[in-house]
Amino acid sequence: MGVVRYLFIALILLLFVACGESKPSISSVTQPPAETSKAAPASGVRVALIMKTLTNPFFIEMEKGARRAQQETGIDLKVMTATQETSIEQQIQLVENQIEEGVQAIVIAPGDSERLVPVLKKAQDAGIRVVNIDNRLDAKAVLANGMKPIPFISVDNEQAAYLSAKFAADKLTQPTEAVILEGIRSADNANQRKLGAERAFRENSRVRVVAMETANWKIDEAYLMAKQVFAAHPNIGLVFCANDMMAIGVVKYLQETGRRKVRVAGFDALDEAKVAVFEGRMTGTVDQQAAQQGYQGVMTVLKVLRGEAVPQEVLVESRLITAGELK
Amino acid sequence: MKFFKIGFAFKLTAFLLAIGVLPQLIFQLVSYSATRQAILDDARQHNMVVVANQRDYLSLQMEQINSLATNLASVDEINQVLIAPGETGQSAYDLLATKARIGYVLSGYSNLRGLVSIDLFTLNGMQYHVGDTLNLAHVRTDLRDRLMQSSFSAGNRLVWHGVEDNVNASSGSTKVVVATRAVSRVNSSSAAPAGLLLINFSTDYLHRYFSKIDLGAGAYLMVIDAQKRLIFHPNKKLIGQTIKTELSHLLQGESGAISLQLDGRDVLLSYSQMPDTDKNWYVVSVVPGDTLLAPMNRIDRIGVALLVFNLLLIALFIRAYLRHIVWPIRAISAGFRRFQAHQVEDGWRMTKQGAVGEIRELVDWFNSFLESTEANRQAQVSLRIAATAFESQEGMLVTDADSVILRVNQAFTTITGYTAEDAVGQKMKLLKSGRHETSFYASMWEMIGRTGTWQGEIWNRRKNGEIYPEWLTISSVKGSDGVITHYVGTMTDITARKAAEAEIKHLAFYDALTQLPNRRLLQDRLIHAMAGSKRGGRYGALMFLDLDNFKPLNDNYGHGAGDLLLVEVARRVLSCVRETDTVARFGGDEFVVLLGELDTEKAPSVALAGAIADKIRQALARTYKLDMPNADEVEHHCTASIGVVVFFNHDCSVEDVIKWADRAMYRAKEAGRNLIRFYE
Repeated sequence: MGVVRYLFIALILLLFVACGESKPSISSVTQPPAETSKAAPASGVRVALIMKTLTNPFFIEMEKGARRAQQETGIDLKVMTATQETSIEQQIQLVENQIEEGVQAIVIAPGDSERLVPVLKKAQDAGIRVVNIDNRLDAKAVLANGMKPIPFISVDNEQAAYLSAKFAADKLTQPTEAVILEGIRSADNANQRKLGAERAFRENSRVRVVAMETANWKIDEAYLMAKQVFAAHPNIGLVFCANDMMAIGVVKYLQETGRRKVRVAGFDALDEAKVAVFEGRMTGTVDQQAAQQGYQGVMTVLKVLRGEAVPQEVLVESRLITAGELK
Repeated sequence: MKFFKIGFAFKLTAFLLAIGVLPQLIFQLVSYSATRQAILDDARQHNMVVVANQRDYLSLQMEQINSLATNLASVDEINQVLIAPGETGQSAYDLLATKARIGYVLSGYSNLRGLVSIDLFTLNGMQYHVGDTLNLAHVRTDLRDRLMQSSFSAGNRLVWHGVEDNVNASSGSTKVVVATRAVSRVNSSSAAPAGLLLINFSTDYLHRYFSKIDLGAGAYLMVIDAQKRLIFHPNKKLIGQTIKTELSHLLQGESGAISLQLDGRDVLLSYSQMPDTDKNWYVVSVVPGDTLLAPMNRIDRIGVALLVFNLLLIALFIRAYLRHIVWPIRAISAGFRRFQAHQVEDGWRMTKQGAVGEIRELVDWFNSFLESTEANRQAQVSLRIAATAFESQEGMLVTDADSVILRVNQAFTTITGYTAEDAVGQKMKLLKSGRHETSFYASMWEMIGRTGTWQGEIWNRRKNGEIYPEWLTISSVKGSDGVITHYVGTMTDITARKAAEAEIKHLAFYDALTQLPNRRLLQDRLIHAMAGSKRGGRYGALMFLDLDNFKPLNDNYGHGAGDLLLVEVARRVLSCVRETDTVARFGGDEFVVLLGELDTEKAPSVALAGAIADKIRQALARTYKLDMPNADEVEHHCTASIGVVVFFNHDCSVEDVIKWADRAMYRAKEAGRNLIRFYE
């Protein structure tokens, strides 16, 4: 039998040898570079941060905070914004895109408190965890759409606005006409800030609110609105803007028309606004720690993903910034 | 034997392989190579198509970006910002408002999938941006300046730079495909570029798209830019890396396909150049030979299975062949070898294990050969024993069934005097003495026929004519069929024995000196005589003789003289009686004469007896002349006293008759000797 076995092996070998060919042998690429970044190793978790607009520097801070969370956790973070504060449909589209992309979590600063709810419900149904920052989604709409509770991170907008408005009004010595420039009216934070300002102005007997208008958070709309409002009420001496962008628009108008006495209160503590506060063109603004909100938003959604319990509401501390503080 | 061992199985195996496996192997190799070539050609074409498709897709993407850039460049607002002063020359409002306005414009164009960002850099140092980050604090100025320079020198058209770092370092997309376009102011006397439109396209997006394309196991695509950097590679970490020159050198011309070993694997590399040649980009597909030849695996497996099956079949056949034919034959030849070397033990038989058909018969015959050989040997041994036994002290002869002598031994010759030459061929009656009646022989043969053997005394004749007694045993030898084939006779010459017997008998019953019956024989004869008297109804007589003057002879001349006298007395008495009468020496100088069958009457019987007695008395009374050896003749006178008893039947005992005769003798002695007296 030994002979047979020997022949068998020889045949098999022959079969394999017959199939071999010689070819040029090269290698394609050098090894990938070693990881030099200090970032945590990639976790594979994909999170989308969807913000309102690319024009408001406030959101740059918010992104920075989120990026810090990304650096710490190694997640894959996509940052996107709608073009303008009013581009609600675009924001809805962004959420839709992220559902399609299959991200695990969405951290959203919704431009509108109601209109974003259905699409976010859709995201939740797709298994995507949602955390709400900055502008609160409308609780009734959330409930009505049958959504699971959504953790919310923001500041106490009403109180912060109250403080900003109060600070501006407190220095008044004479009865003064005031105007409140609101954000998008269907946005909860805009409403809260309006309420805060109203409360502050109500408490001050010298202040009389003559107009409440919206400039949709926008710098250029605020400029135009200022023109309009001052044309109707030339004696206005106090302006509360629900954000700094609008405040800067108003200041631009005041400068152009030489109305140096009008007091302007802002919100958001943009660098440009702080400069204006420092120079006395604005009375104050509110630092609502946008970076912290972005950071907390991402960290909270990661906790949710891990199945940990998170508080339904986290209020980041806000701080009134005045000229005195900057000096 | 050794040659047989290897050669037989080896040759058969080689033969079977040659007719069974070799053609299959050749067919398989040929068809394998043909199929392989066909599959490779097919795969080559298929891959060329795949690569071309991906090239076209990429081309389309680039075309979209191209038109996007062209459109943007002619937008009014953008034209306006080209002349806007730098950051320091603008109020916060203007800065923010312009940025917002341009942002809106750019954003309007940014909905193209895969777009990372659109940036507009003006020569005044302004950056307008829309994209995946809002943070423009970290701009890679070196890269920006380099891109700007290379784009400005290319005029107002879109320049593709390939894969580069993202100008905006804050972006999540670190490696991007960069396209730039120099933007000049419209309605300006100078055509010099005043800004740079920079479009970052996502390599991640391309990665996702290209990763979805399934080219088969282990196969992948690569997209390589003009600087030989990887725009796409399945390993994300490699994106942006430069490929080795040895690989990039292979990418020549518009398209092609090369078989080579890439990173230690046999692959088919297909490539196609992007149509716009100044980009000099390539879409490359790398498909492992294994994947290409995956359809071959089935053919391979079937082929190998067939081959294995074939070989197994051959192995089984060879095994069966060895087991049933070669080994049994080998065993048989080994058996013969052992047989030749006398190593086969009696009773050992070859097993037929494994043997089939004719081989089985061969084993049977071998075994029967052993059997008969053994039987022969045993027969020979028996014969030797028989031959030795044949040459014994006893005479032996063997005849055939017709009593023709076949063989005799030396003892036969000694006994009969016939040599083997004399005897062989003769019938047994050669030895016939004529002493026996025909009936003797008839009964002898009858007994042999019945019992198979006969023994007894027989008188035969020697060659010299002498008749002698022998003790003969004849046995018949029967064949296996029960028919008598031979007779075997053993004979012992009993002449000497017979003589000795006679001698002993004589000594016992006769007087050594006179040769007359002694007292024992006399008694015996007396019994017979008395019995005969009863039978015949005749009287008998017993005479008691005592020599009257015997003692002096012995005394004077010695016993020798006495003996001579006794012998003469015996002769004289014998001469006086009938043949049938008995004269016995009773001891010393006493003799007894028995007369039988006298007469039926007493008186005549007495008279007859008396006459004989007297005749004896007279005979004995004559002078004796005794020839003494070494001496002179002696003359002696001697008489006898005779007592007679006549008896009839057996109304008395032997002892009585003798006693009575003795008494009658004594009365004769008393009456003066040389007298006869009857017992009354």
